[in-house]
Amino acid sequence: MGINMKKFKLFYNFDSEEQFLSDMSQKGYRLKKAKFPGLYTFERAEPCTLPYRIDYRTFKDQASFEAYITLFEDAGWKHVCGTHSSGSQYFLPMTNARQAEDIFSEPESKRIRYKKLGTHCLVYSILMVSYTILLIPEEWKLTDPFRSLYLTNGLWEMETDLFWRVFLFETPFVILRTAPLLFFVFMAVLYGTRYVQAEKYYKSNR
Amino acid sequence: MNLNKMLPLTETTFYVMLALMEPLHGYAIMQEVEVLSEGKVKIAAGTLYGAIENLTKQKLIHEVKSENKRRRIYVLNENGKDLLGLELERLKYLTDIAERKMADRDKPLSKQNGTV
Repeated sequence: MGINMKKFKLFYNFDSEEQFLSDMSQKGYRLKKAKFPGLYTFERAEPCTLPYRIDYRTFKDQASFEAYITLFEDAGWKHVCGTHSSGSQYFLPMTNARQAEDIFSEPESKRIRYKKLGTHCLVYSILMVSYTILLIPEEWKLTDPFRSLYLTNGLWEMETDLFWRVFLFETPFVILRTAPLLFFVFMAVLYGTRYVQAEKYYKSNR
Repeated sequence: MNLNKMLPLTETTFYVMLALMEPLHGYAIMQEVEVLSEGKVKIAAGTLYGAIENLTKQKLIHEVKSENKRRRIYVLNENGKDLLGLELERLKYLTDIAERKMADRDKPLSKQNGTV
């Protein structure tokens, strides 16, 4: 108890994510936190197979979120993870009797999760691309994307010995300057991929 | 609002609307649907929440004041009642023509049986 384990894993499919969480519970790790887009925190627990169910929703306020959780509780599902803005909502059945049942009784309502997830990811992806564009350094030129990041005058014309010394000296600064940019490029790609995948699942389940 | 464009209703939507002829909260809707369908239809929590959300967005149901804020109560409004009526007419029409067609098909058979 009290020992947490973090895991980073990306899922494009709710069914495989449910399976993953169930497998983890079998190994004695119970889901404690899940942070979009794929950071999971587990805590040590007695190994047992837990049938996780995932819904995908965001709520306009805390009151709506609580009303949502109450409805699920009334129906026998315990909300174990998620916040009003987190998107993914994780549920476990409260009694063994309902273990085989699902939180969805109609395929369309299951499919609509991918639509919501897709929209969410598209918005984030556009946001990340905007940040990337804002963070492009002034000196950067599209025609020479790598060399233009180095600010030392005449660096690329220097003799080998001097060149390497100056080059290696300046490189950490270049990395520092471009790190935020690279982070947002990475995030834009991550959200973009999730958007494409979500759209794919939304269409293929029709 | 063109109600005819909303037809046909899905089975879930139909049952939820039928249950909401009287004001009910979420779980009460699930129970009422089970009673109405004699246990044949059980609407799961996630599906029901989505249905309530859609019906609210389409302005077919609305929330009514309740003392318990965590259990929101909904009821069918005039548009909702009209739509349910239209769906009922559509279904009646379908069952009528289907019954007539079945009866026509059975007639010659029974005559044949009679002559033999």
